[in-house]
Amino acid sequence: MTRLSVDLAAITLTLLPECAIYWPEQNALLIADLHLGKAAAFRREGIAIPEGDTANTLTRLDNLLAAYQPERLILLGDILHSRLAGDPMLEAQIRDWRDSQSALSVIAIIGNHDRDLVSLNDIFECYQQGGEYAGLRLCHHPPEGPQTQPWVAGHWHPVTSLRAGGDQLRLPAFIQTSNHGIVLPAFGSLTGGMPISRSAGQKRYPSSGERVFAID
Amino acid sequence: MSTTATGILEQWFSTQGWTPAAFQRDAWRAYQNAQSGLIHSATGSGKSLAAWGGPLIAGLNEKLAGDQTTQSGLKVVWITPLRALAGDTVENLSAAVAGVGLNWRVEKRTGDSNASVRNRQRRTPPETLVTTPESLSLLLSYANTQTQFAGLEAVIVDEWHELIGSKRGVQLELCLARLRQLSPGLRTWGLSATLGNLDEAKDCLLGITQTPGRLIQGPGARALDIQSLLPANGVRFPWAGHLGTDMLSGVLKHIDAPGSCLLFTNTRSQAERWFASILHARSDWLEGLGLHHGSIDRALRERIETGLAAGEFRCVVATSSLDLGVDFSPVDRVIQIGSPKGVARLAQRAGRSGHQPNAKSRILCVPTHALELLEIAAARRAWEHGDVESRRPLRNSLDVLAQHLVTLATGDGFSATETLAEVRSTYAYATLTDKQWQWVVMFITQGGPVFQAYPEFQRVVKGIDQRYRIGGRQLANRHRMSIGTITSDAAITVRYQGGGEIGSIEESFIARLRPGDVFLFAGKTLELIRVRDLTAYVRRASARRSAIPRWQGGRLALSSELAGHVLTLLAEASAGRYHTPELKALQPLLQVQQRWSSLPEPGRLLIERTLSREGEHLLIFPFAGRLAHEGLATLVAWRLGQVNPATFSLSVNDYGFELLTQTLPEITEATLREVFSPEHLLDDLLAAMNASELTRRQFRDIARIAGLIFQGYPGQAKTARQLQASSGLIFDTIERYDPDNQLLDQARREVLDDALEIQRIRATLEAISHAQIVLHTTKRLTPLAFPLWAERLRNRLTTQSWQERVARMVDQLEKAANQQ
Repeated sequence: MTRLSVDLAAITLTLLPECAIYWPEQNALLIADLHLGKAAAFRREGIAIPEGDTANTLTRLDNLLAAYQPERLILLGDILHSRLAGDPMLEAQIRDWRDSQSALSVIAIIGNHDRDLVSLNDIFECYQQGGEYAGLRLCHHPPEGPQTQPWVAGHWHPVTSLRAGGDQLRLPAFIQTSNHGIVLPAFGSLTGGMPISRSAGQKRYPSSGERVFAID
Repeated sequence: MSTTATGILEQWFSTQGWTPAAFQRDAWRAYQNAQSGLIHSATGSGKSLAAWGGPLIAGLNEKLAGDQTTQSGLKVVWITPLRALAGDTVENLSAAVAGVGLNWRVEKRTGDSNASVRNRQRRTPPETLVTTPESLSLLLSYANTQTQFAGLEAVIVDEWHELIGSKRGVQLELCLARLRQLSPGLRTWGLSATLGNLDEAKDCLLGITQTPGRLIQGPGARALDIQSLLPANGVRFPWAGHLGTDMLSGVLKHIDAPGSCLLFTNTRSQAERWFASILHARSDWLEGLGLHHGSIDRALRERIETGLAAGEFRCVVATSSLDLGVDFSPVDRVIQIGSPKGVARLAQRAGRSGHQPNAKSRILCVPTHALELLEIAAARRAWEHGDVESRRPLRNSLDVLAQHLVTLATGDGFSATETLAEVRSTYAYATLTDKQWQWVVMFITQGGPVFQAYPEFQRVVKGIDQRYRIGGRQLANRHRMSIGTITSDAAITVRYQGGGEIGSIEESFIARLRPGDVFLFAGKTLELIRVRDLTAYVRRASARRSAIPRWQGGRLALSSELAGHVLTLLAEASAGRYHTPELKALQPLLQVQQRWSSLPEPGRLLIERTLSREGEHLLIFPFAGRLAHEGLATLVAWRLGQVNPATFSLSVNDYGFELLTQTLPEITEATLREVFSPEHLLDDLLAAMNASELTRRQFRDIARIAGLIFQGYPGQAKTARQLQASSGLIFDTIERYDPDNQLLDQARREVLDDALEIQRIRATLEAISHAQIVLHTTKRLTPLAFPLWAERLRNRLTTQSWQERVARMVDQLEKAANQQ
């Protein structure tokens, strides 16, 4: 078993070890927090981080798309790391990628980093305040308070630490905060993590890259 | 009235009731002969005036000659390692200036100086500027350094022993090289406490020059009286690092005596704990009890320093933050909690007591676990033998060089050929290769691997005049904010909800707390309310149980000088000779060790193997200090894991290390000879370390210094967040996309040289190859093994795959859950 299924009310989602969710019923793939162009944004400010993250993130996405052949891709915000204006290369890179996946329909939820995403609304179907698809609420920020409708979100970049027998590992994790909602780990190659520890009523599903584990 | 300059200075000495000492006159003469050098002398022997007399005499000579042509302007830069000391230093130097009737301004310039003071100092510089290495570097980041420093006659570096061996020292070496170019003929003088390598310390300060410079020896080290507070009931007190109440009552008795007392601890956590305990026992002392450590708000610290000088405090609990400090008045008693881990440090702390010339310095050492008694006895023996630690200067630190070059680019700009020669004139970069130099220049101008062009990267730009300059105002400002080499975990400000600031604390500690948790900080019991924008809001709490922050960097390794004497003492014990009070107190414990296993001694490596519920423990005691043991443990675990893949938990202390694993293979003398072989040391250690986190961790400091991590502007935490990435993430990215990056190489070198002490590891393995190996299988943990078990400073090394580890851990977690 390498994947793991969770139910949010009537919706069954498959958690993939690649830090993505596959939704079999709708043949859709969901990912969050790509932060494309992050290294370049750092370099513009004089911080010498080499390039590679954007291409790597898109390649991993291509591999996932090839493996699951979804009809629809849902991006849960923070697709870009910073403004597109200063980075013509990035826009070209994203448009090239979109051309290579032209059969795919893409829904993009605008995240807090995505101020310039609207200029890509000819290739992505953009939603400002979150959207809804086949009964599933699509958010960037995890909604606060009790919810009645199933939802998925990103933004947190959750990671979790495993400890046992003196060993310790830090892994990206899906966090199911309630019966209704789940937060995805960040998909981007150059993204940090926010540690989420055990807490009542919340389930963590860390991924080792090859397998998703249920630990709570 | 005397009419010679030296006469005037001597007159002022006599009005103070002093007579110039021979070494002081020697230093003054050397200065008049335009020489540079290092003055080594005990604390409180007048070494500041030995260095300060030279410039004063030169100034008086100019005045006496009625020389109108000499410009006013900056003549002397006085470097102090702690900005907290700058105020004291200004006072002391000014007193001498006034005493000889010179009309000089002595001012300080540190990170605390406000903008109007800094601007005035730039327009009309004082004759003498007291500053820190960081602030000096910052001065070089402004334009017109030529006019600022052209008239500079001397740089005097106080407490050079504190700077040498650190990146701050390297940064200062680079700045000194710059100043020597701006002001040819500049004299460099340093002041140092006892070090094992004073000659090297001098060479390092003076740079690569034609003239060797002078090493001036002050009055020899004073007699040192080291005593131990012996536990009342033999060795019945805690084993590992906890405060024993037995010890507290002994310490209180000592503090109760009239007069002032300084109580030194090795870590900030220890300081917090002792302060709380003393306060609890002597609540009526509240006003007379002080706590001083590096995380406490500066204003508070300064209040304690002045209070201490004024004799208002009965007892101040301090960490190394009070090791320095030129001239606060001596206290009556000095207490050291825990082993000092080094002879030089102990002598320096002891020097805080009884400043009368020829008086003995006394220090009372309080062991925090039984075996520290050994280290105290060893320190006494080492001091008697004159075995004092050296501080090895750092070489070719490319991160510091990168920062310095950006600093120069931010100031007047620099040209490649001249600056390379200047950089190579320092001891730190004398062997810098062309390739390393080119890489650093590439790193700050191009930002990435040679084969890639990043047009958006404009940190430093080469102009048509071939000079390198900073890429813009904003970059210049940001660079000035980041100058310095002291790195720490991101600092979180601790303040009351009402607004009062208490100090700063490391983020990693706060991250472990939840709102409502109670912790001990700055001597107060506080409850965390919330953390927002790098500020932790707290309120006073009354709970008795509270967490104590564990600060990083508090762990000192036992010096090889001390370790050697510890082993000799153990050999004597093994032969039944218990000479000192410490050894006598330890006799019951050492005899148990001897009965269950045996005592280590020079030329004999002790190894123990035992079984517990946790798994199999292999305990090895080379007595090479905690740092070398970290490397040795990694190496041995890796070599054992090559035979049978396994995951080891590693635990180290100053005496030895522990490998814990589920099942150990059979271990024979032949196996042991193999795992301790000095052959292929470097290859094996590097291979082992690839599997560990050490290099990644080491990279944090390098990334900060080289400008890969931007810590943000004060008060602007939010807007800077987009530029923040963890050093681990940056390390991974660079390792993946720019594997030839020289900073990775430096991280590996630093781990080897500094973090693991490869030289010490090599020497230890060589020694083991000639040593007898004694392997005992014990029924339980022995007195030597127990502290290792109890301390559990864990590191992991695995030769198992990631998947196996996760699966195994999840397995265990599931099993544990099923049992509930």
